[in-house]
Amino acid sequence: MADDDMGMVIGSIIFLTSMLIALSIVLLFGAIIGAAVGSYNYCKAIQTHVRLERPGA
Amino acid sequence: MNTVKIKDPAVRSYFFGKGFQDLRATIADGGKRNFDSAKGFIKKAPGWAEPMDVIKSSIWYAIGISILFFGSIFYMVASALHILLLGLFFIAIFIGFTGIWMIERWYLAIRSFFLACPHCHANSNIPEYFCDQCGEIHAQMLPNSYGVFFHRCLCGNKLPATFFLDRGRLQARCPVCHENIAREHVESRRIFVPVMGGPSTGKSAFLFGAVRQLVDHGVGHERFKAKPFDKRSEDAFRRVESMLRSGIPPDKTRDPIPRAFNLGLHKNGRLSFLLYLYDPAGEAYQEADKLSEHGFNNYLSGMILIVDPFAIPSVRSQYRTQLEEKYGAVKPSELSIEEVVDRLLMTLEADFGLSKRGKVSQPLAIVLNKSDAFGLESLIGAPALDRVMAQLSEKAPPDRNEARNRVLRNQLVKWGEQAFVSRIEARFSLVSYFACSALGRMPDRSKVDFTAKDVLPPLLWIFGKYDRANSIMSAKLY
Repeated sequence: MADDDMGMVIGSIIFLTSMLIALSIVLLFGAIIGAAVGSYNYCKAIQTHVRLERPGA
Repeated sequence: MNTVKIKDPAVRSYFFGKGFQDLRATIADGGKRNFDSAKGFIKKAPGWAEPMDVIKSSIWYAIGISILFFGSIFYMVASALHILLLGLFFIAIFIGFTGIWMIERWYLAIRSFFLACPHCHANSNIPEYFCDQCGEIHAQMLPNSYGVFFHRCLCGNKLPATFFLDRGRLQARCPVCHENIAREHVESRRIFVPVMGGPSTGKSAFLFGAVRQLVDHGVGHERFKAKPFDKRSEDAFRRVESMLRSGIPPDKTRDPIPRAFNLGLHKNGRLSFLLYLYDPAGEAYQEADKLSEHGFNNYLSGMILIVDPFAIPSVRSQYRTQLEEKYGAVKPSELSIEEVVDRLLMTLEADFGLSKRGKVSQPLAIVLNKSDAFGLESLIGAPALDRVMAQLSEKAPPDRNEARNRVLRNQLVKWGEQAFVSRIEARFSLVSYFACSALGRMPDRSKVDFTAKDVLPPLLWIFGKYDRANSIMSAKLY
C-alpha cells in the first residue's frame, strides 16, 4: 500500500514537472514569437509613418 | 515668451509637430498590425475534426495568442520608449532654444539693438527677414520651434535664426509698414533726436544747418566723419544744401509724421553711430493726434525744442516796428511755445507712458533760434555770454555751459516766459539752453550762402549724454 502511494506521488511529481516544463517551453516560444512579430510590426509601422521633412531635397 | 504664433514658411522642428503626428500614427498602426498578425495566424488553424488538425490548430492558436499577448506587451513597451524619446528631445530642444533666445535677448538689450523703422517709426525686437533664396518672409527668425540655430525655409534654404550666426546678413523689412530695412537700423549704435517746435521756428534750417556742418567738418575729438546714411537722406541733404548755398531757405516741411533723416558717423571707415534726426511739420504741434503718431517718442535719445523768440508776445511787442518791415524775412511762429510743450507732454502722457507727474528722463535742448535778427545776439548770443563770463570769472573759474544756461533761462523769464521755464524744468530731468541762428542771417534776395551759426552745440550735448564714453562730443560746446 505504502509503495503504491509513493509511486503515485512520484508519478504526479514527474507529470506536473513535465507539464510545467512543457508549459514553460510553450510560453518561452510564445514570448519569442510574440516579441519578434511585435517588434517587426512596430518597426514596419515606424518605417511607414516616420518621415523627416526635407523640403527642396 | 517666444511662442510661435505666426506660421512661418519654414519646417518646424520634427520634435515639435510632425514627431507627435508620426507617434500617433505609429502607435495606432503598430497595434493594428499586431492584431492583424495574430488574426492571420489563427486563421491558418485547419479546424478540430482530425487529431492532427487539433495539434496544428493548437499550434496556430498558441502562436496567435502569443502574438496578441506578448506582442502587445512589446508594443506597449516600444510605444512608451517612443514617447519617452520624443519627449526627451522635445524638452532638450525647448530648453536649448529658450536658453539661446534668452541669451540673444539679453545681448541685444545691453547693446540696444532693436528695430527702429526709419519710415513708420515702429519698433520691435527684430524685423521680418527674407529668405535669400526664394524671397519668402520669415516673421519669427528667432531660436524657436522652427529651429534653435537655423530655420529651414520651405524652399530648402538654411537660414540663420540668431544674431550670433549673422542673421543680419539677410534682407529685412519692417513688420508694420513692410518697407525694406538696412541691417544698421537693427544692429548698430543709434541716436534718435527729434527737432521739435511750432511752424516757422526754423526746424528744417536748424537740422540741415547742423547736418551740413557735421558733413563738412566731422565731429568730436576723434574726428568722426559724417555722411548721409542712405540715398533718400543723401538726396534730401544735397537738395537742401544746394538751396542753402544759393541763399534759399529750406522748403517748409509738410509731413507731420516725418521719415527719419539718417546720418552715419564713421570712424576709421566703419559706422560707429547712426543718427536719426526727425523734422516733423510744425503743424503737428497744433494737433495732438498727429503727435501721437510720432512713434519715435518710444525710443528717444534726446529732444531739441526750437523756440522762435518772435513767438513770445513781449519780444514781438518789443520789436514791433522792425517786424513790420521784415515780417516776411523773420516769419515769426504763430504757435506759442507753451502750447508746443503742453501738446508734447499731453501726447507723452496719453500715448507713451509718461505719468501725470513723471519726468522725461531724456535730455531736452531748448534752442532759441533767429539770434541774428534785430540785435538779439546781444541778449542771447555770444556777447551776452561773454558779459556773464566776465562777471563770473571775478569770483571763480566759470563754467561756460552753466553760464549759457543762466543767460538764456533768465532771458526767457525776462520775456515773461516764467511759466514755460517752470513747466519745462518740472517735467524734464535734464534741460539745457542754447541759442543759434539756423540760417546765419536774415533771408533776402542776395543769393549769398546761408551759414548756420551755433547749431551743433545742442546736438553734441545730446550725443554726449547718450554716448557715455563721450567720444563724440567736443569738449567745448559753445
